[in-house]
Amino acid sequence: MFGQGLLKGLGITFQRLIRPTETQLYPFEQPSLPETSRMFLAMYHDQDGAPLCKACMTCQTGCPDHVIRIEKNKDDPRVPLTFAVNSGRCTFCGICVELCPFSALHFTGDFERATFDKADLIYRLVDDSRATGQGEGERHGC
Amino acid sequence: MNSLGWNTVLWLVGLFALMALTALIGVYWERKVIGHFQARRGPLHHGWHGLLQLPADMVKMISKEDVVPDAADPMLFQLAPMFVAVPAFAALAAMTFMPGFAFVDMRHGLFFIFAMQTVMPVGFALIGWSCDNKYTLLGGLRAAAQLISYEIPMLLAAMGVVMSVGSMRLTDIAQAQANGPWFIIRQPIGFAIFCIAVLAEINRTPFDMPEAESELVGGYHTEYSSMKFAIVQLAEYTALLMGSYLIATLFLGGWNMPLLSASPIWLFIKVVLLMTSTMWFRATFPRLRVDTLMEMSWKILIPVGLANIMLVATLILVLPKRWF
Repeated sequence: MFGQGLLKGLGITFQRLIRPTETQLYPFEQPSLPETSRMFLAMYHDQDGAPLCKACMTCQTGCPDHVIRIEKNKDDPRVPLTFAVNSGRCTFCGICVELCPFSALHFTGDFERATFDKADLIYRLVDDSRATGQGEGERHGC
Repeated sequence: MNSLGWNTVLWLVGLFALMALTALIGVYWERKVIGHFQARRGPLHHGWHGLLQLPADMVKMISKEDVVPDAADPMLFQLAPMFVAVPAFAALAAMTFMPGFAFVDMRHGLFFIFAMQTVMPVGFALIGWSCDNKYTLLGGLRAAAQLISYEIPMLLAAMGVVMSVGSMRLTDIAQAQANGPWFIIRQPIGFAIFCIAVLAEINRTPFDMPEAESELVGGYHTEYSSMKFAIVQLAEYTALLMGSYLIATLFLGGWNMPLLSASPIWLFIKVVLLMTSTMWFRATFPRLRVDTLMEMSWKILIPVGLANIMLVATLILVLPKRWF
């Protein structure tokens, strides 16, 4: 019938009118993100609080954007001294998570990481404190 | 007719307030309603459900710089919005809200309203031309062409009602539907044509080619800012009010309601519902192409409108008066 499509379209928009709206009021209400959200890279720790990372360098080598920089402990090469993540470079592709043989890395839904300084985007995952950012520029020229 | 006295002044102030309120509340209501039609929320953060957005918009509109382009014709640029706003406002004078409740209950009220609307294409073309901008010129010409072509089917559809009633007085037309079925039932074809034509007359989606954002920036009022833009906007919302009022009066019984006593409230409810449904269409339909729009008017609506007149004329002759 002529005009059937028009009526169907009107029906669809009318259903939208009755249904609750889908806008998320983000700054006022926290959004409910899916568990698999890739918002920020994080490290798993064991029961004693030691990181699962064994400083094997697979993620650092495999990362296409040179986001991860690991420094080994000279005395014990299976212990990472620093695990710096430059989240400003990260595209959240997840290759590091896939590569890690110890399943030490994972993504979290924590996304409120905006900063005023580029250096603040570099995070240390091992002791979970913010890195100074020194040394990062020398290697990759940022 | 009233002598120039307090009554006249009150009516003028009232009608002007009606026009201003329609534009102000219309903008807010449109944003809100279209938001909800699209599963959004519309204005939300200023005041209760974004109600303070309304005065904020008004203050913003008034306080903005009134820019006149260098290449524009300064005289026409200033004058052209008036060619749109004044007829739109003048048409309000013929509005009847109840028998005896009108500024001027004209014998040819319907004719007067159509006559005023006929002036508006001139205004749109002038606005488009005076800015010396290709987008406004195209928008203005499109608006003029569209308004002229859709006036004809609108008049043809209205003619069916006028023939049936035998009067052009809006009071008579609405009263003719008091004790019988409304004209939407008696002349459904005329109603459909009239609605489509009104939608095109007031430049509303899906017929808003004159201000097609994706191709013409903002259409004929691209160069207008501040109060001149507000005046053009005012005229558009007044045209929307007038179109809804005409549909309500001609085809939906005006202030009459079956089984209930006549009251201007019914007219108000009908007009609000009709205005909301134009917003519903805007939220739903994509824009037509210019040539298909013209084709629809000249090749479909006008022949069907003429056939509708023939049909109505035949039925008036054949059927007893009280049936039709």
